[in-house]
Amino acid sequence: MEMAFDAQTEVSDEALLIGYGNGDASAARLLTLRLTPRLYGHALRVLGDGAEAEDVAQEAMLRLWRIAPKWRQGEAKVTTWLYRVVANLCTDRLRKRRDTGLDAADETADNSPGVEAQMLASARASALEAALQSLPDRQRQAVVLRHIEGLSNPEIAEILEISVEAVESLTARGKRQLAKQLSGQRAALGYEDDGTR
Amino acid sequence: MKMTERDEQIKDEAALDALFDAVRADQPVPPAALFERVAQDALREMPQMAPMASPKRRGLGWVLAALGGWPTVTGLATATVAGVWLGYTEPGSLNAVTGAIWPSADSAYGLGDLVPSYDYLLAGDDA
Repeated sequence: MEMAFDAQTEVSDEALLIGYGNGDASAARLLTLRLTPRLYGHALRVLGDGAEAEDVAQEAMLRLWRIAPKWRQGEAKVTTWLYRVVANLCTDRLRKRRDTGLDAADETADNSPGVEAQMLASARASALEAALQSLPDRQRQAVVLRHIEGLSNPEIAEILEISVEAVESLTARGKRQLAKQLSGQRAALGYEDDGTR
Repeated sequence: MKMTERDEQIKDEAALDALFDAVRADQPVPPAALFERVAQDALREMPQMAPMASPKRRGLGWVLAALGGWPTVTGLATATVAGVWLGYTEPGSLNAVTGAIWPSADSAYGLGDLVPSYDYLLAGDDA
C-alpha cells in the first residue's frame, strides 16, 4: 500500500498542513494517506458501520482542509484536533441513531459472524468489535482511543474534553465490561487453556 | 482444583489484552474510493496563492517613472538637442567667452604673475 511511501517522510503533520495552507498539493496527498486510515479506523470501531465511518473520516478531513489557512501553529496536535472532530461526529451519529430507533450496534452484535468460518485472528477482531458496540458511547470512544489507537490518557482527555481521571475511569469500566462480555467466548477464540495470547 | 472467580477474571483480562493486540495489528484499510474523495476535497479546498507581481516591467514605462514622468523627460530631451546643436554650429559669440576665460598663448601669464614671490627669489640668487 502507498502508506510505505509516507512512512519514509519525517515531515510533521503540522508542517504539511501549513504547506497545504500555502497551496502545496503534495502536502495534501501526504496528509490524506497518513491521516485518513486512522480516522476511518476509529470511526469504524466506534460506529460499527463502514459507510458511516467513511462519511465521518471524509467530513473530518474536509474540516481540516478548511481550517488549514487559519491553523495556529503549536496550539494543538493535528491528530488530537482530528480525533476530537471524529469523536464529536460519531457522538452525533450515535445520538441520531438512538433518536430514530435504528441501532447498527445491536445489528452487529446479533449478526456476529460464525467463528468457525473465519480465520482465528479475524474472529478475535470481530468478537472484540461486537463487544465494543455494547459499551456506552463515551466508554467505547475512550477504550478504542486508549487500547487500540494507543493514545495517552492526557491526549484522550483533550479529545473527549474531560479530565484525565474521567478517562481513567471510563477505560477501566469499559475494560471490565468487555472482559465480562467476552468471558464466555474464550474457548471459541482460542484463549481457554493457556490463558495467554 | 476449582477455579476461583478471581482466576476467571484474570483469564478474561488476559484474553482481552490479547484481543486488543490482535485488533491493533489488524488495522482496517479504508476503501480506495475514500482516499480519492478526500484528495479531491483537498484540491478543491486548497487555498490559491495570490498571483505574484512580475518582477519584469514591460517596455520603458519603468524608466519614465524612475525619472519623474513626462515633464522631466521633455526637459532632458530639450537639453540634449540644444547640446547637439551647440556642438555642430559652434557660434562665434562662444569664442569670445572662451577667449575671456582662457587667454591666447601670447598673452599668457608667466610664473611670476601667479607666484609674485618667485621673482624676488630669483633676484636674491643673483645678489
